[in-house]
Amino acid sequence: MKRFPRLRLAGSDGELLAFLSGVNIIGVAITGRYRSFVKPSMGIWLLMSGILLTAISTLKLLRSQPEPDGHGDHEGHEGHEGLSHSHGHAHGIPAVAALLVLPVAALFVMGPRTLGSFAASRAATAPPPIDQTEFVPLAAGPDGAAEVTLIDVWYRANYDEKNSLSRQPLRMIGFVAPDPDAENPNAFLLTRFRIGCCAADALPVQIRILDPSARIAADQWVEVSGSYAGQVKQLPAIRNATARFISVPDDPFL
Amino acid sequence: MSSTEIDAQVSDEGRDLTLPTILVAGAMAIGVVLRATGLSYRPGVANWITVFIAVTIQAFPFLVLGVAVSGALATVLPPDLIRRALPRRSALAVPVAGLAGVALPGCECASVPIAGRLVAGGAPAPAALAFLLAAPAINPVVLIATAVAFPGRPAFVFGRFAASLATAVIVGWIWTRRERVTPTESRLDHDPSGSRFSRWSEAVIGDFVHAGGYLILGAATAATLQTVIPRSVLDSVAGSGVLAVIALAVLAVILAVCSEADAFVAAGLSQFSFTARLTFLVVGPAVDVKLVAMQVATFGRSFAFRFAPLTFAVAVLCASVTGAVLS
Repeated sequence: MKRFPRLRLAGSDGELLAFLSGVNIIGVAITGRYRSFVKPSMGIWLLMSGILLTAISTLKLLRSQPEPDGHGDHEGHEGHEGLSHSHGHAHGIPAVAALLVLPVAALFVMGPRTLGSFAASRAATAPPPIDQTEFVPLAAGPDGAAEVTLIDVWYRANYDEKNSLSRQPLRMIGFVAPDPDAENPNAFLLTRFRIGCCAADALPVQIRILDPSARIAADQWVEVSGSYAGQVKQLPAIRNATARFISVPDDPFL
Repeated sequence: MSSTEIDAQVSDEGRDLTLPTILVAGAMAIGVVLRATGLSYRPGVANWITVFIAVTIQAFPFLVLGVAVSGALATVLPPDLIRRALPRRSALAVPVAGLAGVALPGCECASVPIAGRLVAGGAPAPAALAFLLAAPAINPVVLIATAVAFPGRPAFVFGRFAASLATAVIVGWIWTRRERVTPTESRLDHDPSGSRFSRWSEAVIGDFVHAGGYLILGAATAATLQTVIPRSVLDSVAGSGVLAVIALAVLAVILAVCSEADAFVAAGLSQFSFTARLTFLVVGPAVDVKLVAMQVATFGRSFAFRFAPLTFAVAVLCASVTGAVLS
């Protein structure tokens, strides 16, 4: 074991693991990457807790450094006591603590893709019911189409007594999931996940795109324009659809 | 005790190798392979990674809050303060400690290390366990979040408060008649010398890596279960009475979302009955895979594997009774 050079900074593994975790979370918070996993409102809490943990572990690492023979460095000769627990600082770190490096590695491994059609095909879809029956009219943009979110389409389709979706073309974004019920081979389910807290509780919101002009691969993010075609097999549907490829949005969740 | 064995092993290797450096290098190497082979882009793998990171990230601020408080309990507060503050009789101390949970605005990740420190600091174990179960469910932040998630339906808020407190107190009382609870050894050692800040920060880091490591294990379990078991399996039993209640209780265990957020999840499960969704809200903060993993960290394996099923059963029962009364 001695042939591995020892890093002088290494006061203890625990502090390094805590430091690594803190820096990782700060990075995720600052780059905005956290929004692929949790609600945007979590950002400030992630940043604050990351800074706190990083600061504490940095102080600890710096303080334990200047005592090579003293108290801060006495692990070496106590490490072989077998079952008896050693005392003092830097001890009692269980093996599982090493797992703290996993999130760092997982973030590194992960591509730009977040939850996709795989997860969407495995969950039922039904946003919670609402009491609302009055909706503000949709505002059409310069090209005459109104920008809407999928959840907005869902609620208006199910609850709007004035049928505001039918009054103008619609434009919305989401990713492509296969439509198992469709006859048209190009048809797909335009999908976005709604999260209560994080990607672990994501539930898909889906609407049917009935007649795209070409077949689009699953999980591709698209901006779809088209007209509301009423409910088809219990989902709101869009016809006369055109789709434009887009990259994964910064806020993939609803 | 097996956890001590593991401790000793790692201590051995960790001495000269700077374990984290090597682990990071190893994990990154695996990562490079996963990316180069395109494996990490496979839908199932991407799904696992996303859920795993999501559970880890959402828990992180609460875990840091929890270890900051638990560190303070261990080092800043006078050691016998808690023992003196609680009623001497265990039967009374349990509900008092349960109600004290109102004061901790965190989720279950925060309350595990704190409960560990309470026991280490001399609080009666049943009281600490009642606090552990009650705090993440009945604190104001969680109750307000529940009210926001269910506008115009205060029965969810009252039901959650009553059933969760009842669960905490009943489990605490049951545990009074059982064996003693010993926190795993590493939680007890801290350096008596050094400044207050130095002792606090040491406890914070110790608790963080301890509870955090198990949290990661729990997150990995949740991600695996969610990738393997399709949600539609659980959703398919919606509405069918007892089965629906059991299904949502199981869902609460494998989703492992924080108690601050689980009401928004429950609101989305609108095809389920009131009682079933209440059960989801009561079971989640008391038993879920990441929580059980953290209890293993804090109280040892044999404790956690008896405590979790007991808590699960009591929570389902309390929620069902409360649901029947309120609906």
